[in-house]
Amino acid sequence: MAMANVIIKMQDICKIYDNGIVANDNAFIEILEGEIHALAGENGAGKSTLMKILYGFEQPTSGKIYIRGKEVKIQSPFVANSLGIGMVHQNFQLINELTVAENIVLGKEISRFGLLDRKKTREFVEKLAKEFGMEVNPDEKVGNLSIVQKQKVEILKVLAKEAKIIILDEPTAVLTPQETQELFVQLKLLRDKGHTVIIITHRLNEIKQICDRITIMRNGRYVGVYNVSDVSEEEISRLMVGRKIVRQVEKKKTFPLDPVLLVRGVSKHVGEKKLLDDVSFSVRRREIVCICGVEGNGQRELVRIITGFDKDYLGEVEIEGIDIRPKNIRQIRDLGESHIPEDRIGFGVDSLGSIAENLISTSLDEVFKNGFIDKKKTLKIAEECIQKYQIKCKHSLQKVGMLSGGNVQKVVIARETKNPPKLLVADQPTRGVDVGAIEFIHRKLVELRDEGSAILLISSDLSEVFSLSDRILVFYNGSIVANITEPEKLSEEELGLYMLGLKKDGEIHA
Amino acid sequence: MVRFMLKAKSYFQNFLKKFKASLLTPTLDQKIRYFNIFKTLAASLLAIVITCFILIFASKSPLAAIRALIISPFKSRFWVGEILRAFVPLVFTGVAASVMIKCGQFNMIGEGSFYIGGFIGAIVAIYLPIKGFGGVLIACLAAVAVSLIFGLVPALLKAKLNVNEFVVSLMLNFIMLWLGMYFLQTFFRDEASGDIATKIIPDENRFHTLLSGTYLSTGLIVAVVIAVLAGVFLYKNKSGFIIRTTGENPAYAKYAGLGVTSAVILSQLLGAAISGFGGAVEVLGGIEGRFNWKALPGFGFDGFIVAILAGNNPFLVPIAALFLAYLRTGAVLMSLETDIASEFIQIIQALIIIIVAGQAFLRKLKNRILFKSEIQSEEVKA
Repeated sequence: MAMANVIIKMQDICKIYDNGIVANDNAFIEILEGEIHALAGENGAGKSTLMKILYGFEQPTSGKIYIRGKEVKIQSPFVANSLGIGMVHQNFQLINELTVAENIVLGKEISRFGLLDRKKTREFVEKLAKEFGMEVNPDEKVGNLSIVQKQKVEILKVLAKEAKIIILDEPTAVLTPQETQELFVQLKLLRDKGHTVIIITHRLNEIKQICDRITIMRNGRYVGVYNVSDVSEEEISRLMVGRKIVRQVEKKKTFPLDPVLLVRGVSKHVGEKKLLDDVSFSVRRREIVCICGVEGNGQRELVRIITGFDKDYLGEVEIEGIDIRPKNIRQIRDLGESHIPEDRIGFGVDSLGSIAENLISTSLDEVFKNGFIDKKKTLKIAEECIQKYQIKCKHSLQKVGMLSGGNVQKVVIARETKNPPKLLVADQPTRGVDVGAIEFIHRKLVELRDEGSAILLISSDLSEVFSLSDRILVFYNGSIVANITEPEKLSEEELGLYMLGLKKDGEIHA
Repeated sequence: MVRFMLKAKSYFQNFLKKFKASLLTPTLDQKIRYFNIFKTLAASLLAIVITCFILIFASKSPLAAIRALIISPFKSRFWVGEILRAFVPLVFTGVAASVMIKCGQFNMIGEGSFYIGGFIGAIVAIYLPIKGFGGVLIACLAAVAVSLIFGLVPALLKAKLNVNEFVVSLMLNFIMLWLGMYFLQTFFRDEASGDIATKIIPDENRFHTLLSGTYLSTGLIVAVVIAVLAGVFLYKNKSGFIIRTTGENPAYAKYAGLGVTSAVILSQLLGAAISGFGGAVEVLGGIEGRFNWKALPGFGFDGFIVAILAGNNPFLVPIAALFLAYLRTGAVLMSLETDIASEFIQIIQALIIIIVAGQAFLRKLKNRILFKSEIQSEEVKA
């Protein structure tokens, strides 16, 4: 490896966002030609920012970037493209209305007399796809594709622009284990053809499996670069968080009591499409029931119904025997339901409000006496939560928008669980959260269960599913395809088969 | 009495100590707050400097024009009174705009309800048999009530049918204007006056003069009280909290079960009521002593300028309104004393708004402040 050329060097990169967040503080990274390089770190460590700077999406506040030893200024993604750098974003940047071929050549259209030459475009895309071993139908509309296929289109789009350096932002976050393996085969093929691949990730087993070298970041700073073969998973995670962490939460066997949430024959149709098809299940006190499945199989619709956002459904949803259909969100919350939403920045917090204000929002009557705020009590509640939930901040009047992802999520969890709920709907509670916070959140969920809460967990992170669930319901195409009562007897591969709809017999497993 | 004085003294000293500490070793949030105030001041100053520069070309006697604009407002007791008189309506509409913007509602009804509030206030004050404090109070309440009724239109349309309040209120302003004009011409016109105007409002039903030798009325006190009350409401009251949260992130407010619909309605109604009240105070404390407005008075739109300058904080609205009133008075004097028209003030206003609203203005300085303090605190921790 020592012989390989340094293709990218980013030195002393500092980036301060307008809201005052220091994302990169003298960050450093060095990439060798033809390697698969992992950029790892907790959330808020600044890895995405560093790569956005490399791709010209963000401008560094200070610092230097060298490509093949020559200093460059990358003012925009166009400049990055011309330097042979391409990026596959976590949220795909595709146009659903256009075909695969059209999407791939977008920005670099093959034209004849100023019009798109469809035939040549098609040939070009087919040749490209074949060359890199990715099967796609060039004439299919992107909107009809599955997530894996969309990802392939994204990668091909980057390759079509003759990128030699490809950055992938958390590419496996949306994939099942099988799909992940397929992606890895393709990435290895890319490496063999002389491309350089940078993967932003915090999944340790994947780093071990596919990457050559790893750069670790912490708090926006460079921690070190290692040959993956020289470091163990434990060492990587210790370097990422600065201390050793336990991945598995300790969990005693539970004895569920009476049901709190009862879902009976719930269906939701939009036009011809069945988003939810006759779903029935219950969640009991002292039980963590996990809804697991590839995203877009009805989980989101179910959560919206249970939390009172959507009233347009068939069937019944009851909390402790009370039908929630006529109740608004406030009244449903008053029944003892708490909700950790999937989109925490979108509606889990008020980023412009202070930590204290965010913490009291769902229990205003605790702090407002005769309509006016009891400031002392508010601050007391806030201080207690900050301490108990280990929210890293300067003080409770700091704006939530200034916190890192993991700490924002801790604010959400503190607010939703400071008064133990009867039913907690936790929707992807640890997505995009750093390892330290994940462990904390997992312990908290188990603690709540033991104290008698009923917990409905929606997760697509399999290690989370396995470490927390007392029961797993697998969703596929809007219905429950498996009800797994003894998760510990199930293998990850088998769960993957259920999630992909390849196995459906899982009436009651084990 | 002595004990009270001592208490007040110790309270004041305490406040000073805290204030000093926040200046000497400010926290990050305080730094941002000070920075924002500084930014507004710098923007205003820059706008004035640019204006002076333009004056050099626009006027035959630029020095006199600049002098008239900047210094003349302080030349006599009368003109200071004029500043304060221009200040009063700006406070009302500025507070009204702030309350609505804080909830994320861009409702322009301030214009129409200021007009209709003035009209109703005058009519009630003229024809009501009750005179004195009670008469003024009832006239103002009637103005508020009618403004509220009109305010319901954009508020309910927004809350129930999600109709854009901006468009509705802009259109509604003209309905309010011409309804007012119709009633004024048809039923309440004083035939003795050559103007289209109401009868003279009886002296007992008008705001008294606050400062002798000026036209300034006691409406000034009402305006400041309203600003303080609105501030207390927004920052201390439960409904105010819900209004602010709704404005900052409506999806979050809904998710937290805060009753977004009622917050949207309440903030728009408050906005309409406060500017309607302002209209009544303006007419009942006015020089003419009667209602004779034949066009929308423009204070509703000015309210938005004041709100932007004040960062939508009702507590800061009086400061912003005072600044704008000072510039306006300066502009009037400039037109009296030199060859520059008073409309010139619009240029300064536009410049200030552009610079204050410009996110990039002084951004580098802000980042440096923030970066430095982040590094410092990291070092302290280490």
